[in-house]
This record gives sequence, structure tokens and C-alpha cells, in this order.
Amino acid sequence: MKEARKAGVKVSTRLNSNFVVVRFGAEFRKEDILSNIKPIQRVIDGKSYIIYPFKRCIWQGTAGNLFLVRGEGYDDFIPLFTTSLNTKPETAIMKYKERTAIEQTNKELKSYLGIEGNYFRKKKSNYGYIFILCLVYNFIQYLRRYLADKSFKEVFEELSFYLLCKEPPKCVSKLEKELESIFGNVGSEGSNKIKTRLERTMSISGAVIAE
Amino acid sequence: MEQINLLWSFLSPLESNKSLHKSLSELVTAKLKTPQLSIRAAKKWGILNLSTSFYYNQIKEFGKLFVKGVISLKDFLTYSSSKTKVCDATYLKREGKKIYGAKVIRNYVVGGYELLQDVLFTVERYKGSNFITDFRIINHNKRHLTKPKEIIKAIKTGKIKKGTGLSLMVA
Repeated sequence: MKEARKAGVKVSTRLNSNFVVVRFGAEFRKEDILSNIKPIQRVIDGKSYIIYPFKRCIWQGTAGNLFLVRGEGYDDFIPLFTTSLNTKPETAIMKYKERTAIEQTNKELKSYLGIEGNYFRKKKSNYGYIFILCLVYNFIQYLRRYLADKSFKEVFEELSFYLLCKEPPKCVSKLEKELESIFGNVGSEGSNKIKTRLERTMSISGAVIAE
Repeated sequence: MEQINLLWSFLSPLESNKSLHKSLSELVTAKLKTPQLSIRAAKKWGILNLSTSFYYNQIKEFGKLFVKGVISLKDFLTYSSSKTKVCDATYLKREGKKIYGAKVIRNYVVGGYELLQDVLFTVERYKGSNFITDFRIINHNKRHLTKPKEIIKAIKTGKIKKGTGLSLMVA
């Protein structure tokens, strides 16, 4: 670890397009660093990547290798940091691609299924609630295999509409009956609640009649 | 109605227990119809028919069965197992007092302290889709296993094979 600290690069700000790193005790901007590193090119799953490898870096107190990866046609680099010093850049990219997939799962669970919005406190209730949400998640993913070119959100929303349409909540039928009695005869000669109420409340004053 | 009932055929592993199967299909339906509604609100809307305490008890029962290993998410998957598994944890924002596994942790993205619950999900990739096969709430205290230890345990028990970091690939 000490050797790595001596020889390595320390990232002093967040890793984005304008990050600053400390290397051999001095701070460098991305552009300055990149001009000193020889890039390598790799093809993974038919796509070309330009990789700037920084070996033996220190990031948040941990030694590892930093790969700045830029996909074909992109301007910015994605920083990939690995604690495994023997990891090849190709492996790091493959792992990153896997990771984005599971992060998509996390996002879908939070944004669409509302995994965070519950008030269960006990262990069993928490497990039970997450278990049900995972079942729903898997079910949507299963449907997605048959509904091609549709995102998780689209399938979920459409299924939701379908179920609400086929089996409306009971409050809908209750309200429907109420509305029927209120608006049922609107436009006809017969009386309805609105017409009766209007007739009752609109008493014409004597002055208006006299005119 | 026939079509809707066919939809829930994926819950068939629980068919032997009529009560659990019925309540699970009702809870899944409610979640699909109105994902943001609580059980209490779903009951008020008339989406759930029985009492709220009944559904709370049933959720607890599912949790109990899952923790004991009687039921698992794999039982409800209808395809053959794929070779790629990815394991990663995420923080879930929580509110309230004394919530299982939740702890006040600094959120470096937002820059403040939040009550968070750490959940480790194991996901299987199958034909471009992710399926959750297992999950575990990680407790940040001395009595429970930490995230790396949970992963080591999963490797030892054969749930996942050894890889690099959190991202694990089999074969």
C-alpha cells in the first residue's frame, strides 16, 4: 500500500470530465495527464474502446488500477477503478457493463415499484414486502420477453391500465351509481338531482316579476 | 377474468396453500394496478377486499417463510437457470423509528445523513433481462455479517461463484 501511495495517482476531486488528480505529489488536469499516457485500443462485443490505463492509483485510501475508458463516438471518458491489480482493462469494462445492468434493476425497483415507500419495521415484514416486489419485478421482466422493444416502464404502465380497465376498483362502481343518480337524466324533460336543486334555489324576486 | 387469472399462473408454486396463494395474488394485483398506493389506501379504494391487518400478517408470513428458506424467488421463475449472476447492494431510503436493518448513513451523493437500509440483490441475466433470484438486508452492526462477508458466505454456500469485486460472473 505504501509503495502504491508513493508511486501512484491520488484522485483529489470527483471523477468526472473535469477531475484533478494528484500524481507524484503534484496536481494534474485530465488533459495534461492524458498527454503523458499511451492509450490502448480494445474491441469488446464488437465495439471499440480507447483506454488510458493508470496503474497503482490511490482512490479514497484504496490502491488499485484506474482505467479511463472512452467508447467509439464519445467525447468523455468513464473512469473505472478496480482494486484487483491484475485486472485487464477488458475485464474491467465487462464488469462495468454488468454493473450498469443491476443498477438499472435498482432504479426500476425504486422509481416504478416504490420499494422505498413502506412503513414496515420488523424483519419479517420487511423481507415479505421486498419479496412481493421482487416477484412483481420478475413478472414484468418475464412479460417483457414477449412484448418486444418495450421498456420496463412501458410494460408496467400498460399492464396497470389493462388491469384497472378489466377489473376497476370498487370505488369506481360506487361513484358510478352516485353519478348516475345525479346526471342520469341531464338533457331530458324528466327531473334529476341537479335540475331539482336548481329549481329550488333559484327563486325569482318579486321585482323581476313586476318588470 | 379468465385472462387475468391466467396472468397469475406464475404464482402456482404456492397453490397448495390456498390462503397464502390468494393473498399473494391480491397483493401482486394491487401493486400492479396502483404501485404507489399503500395497503391502507388500496383497501380504501376497494382494490383489496379483506382487512388491512390480514394483509400485514400475510406479508409477515411471506417474510418468515423467505427468511427460513421455505420459499425462494427462484421457485417462481419459469425458465432454466442462466450462467451469469451479478450481486450488488443498494441503499433504500426509509422513514420512521426502529426499522430493521436501517441506519443513519452519510449519503455522499446528496451530501447529508439519511436513514438507509442496505439491501443486497442477486440478479440473473437471462436473454437480456434481469431477474432477481435472491436478496438480503444487510445489517450494519457487529452481530450481523457485513456486505463483503455476505458475498463470501454466498460464494461458500455455492449461491454465486468467485469473481472480482461485487460483480460476479459464473463460468
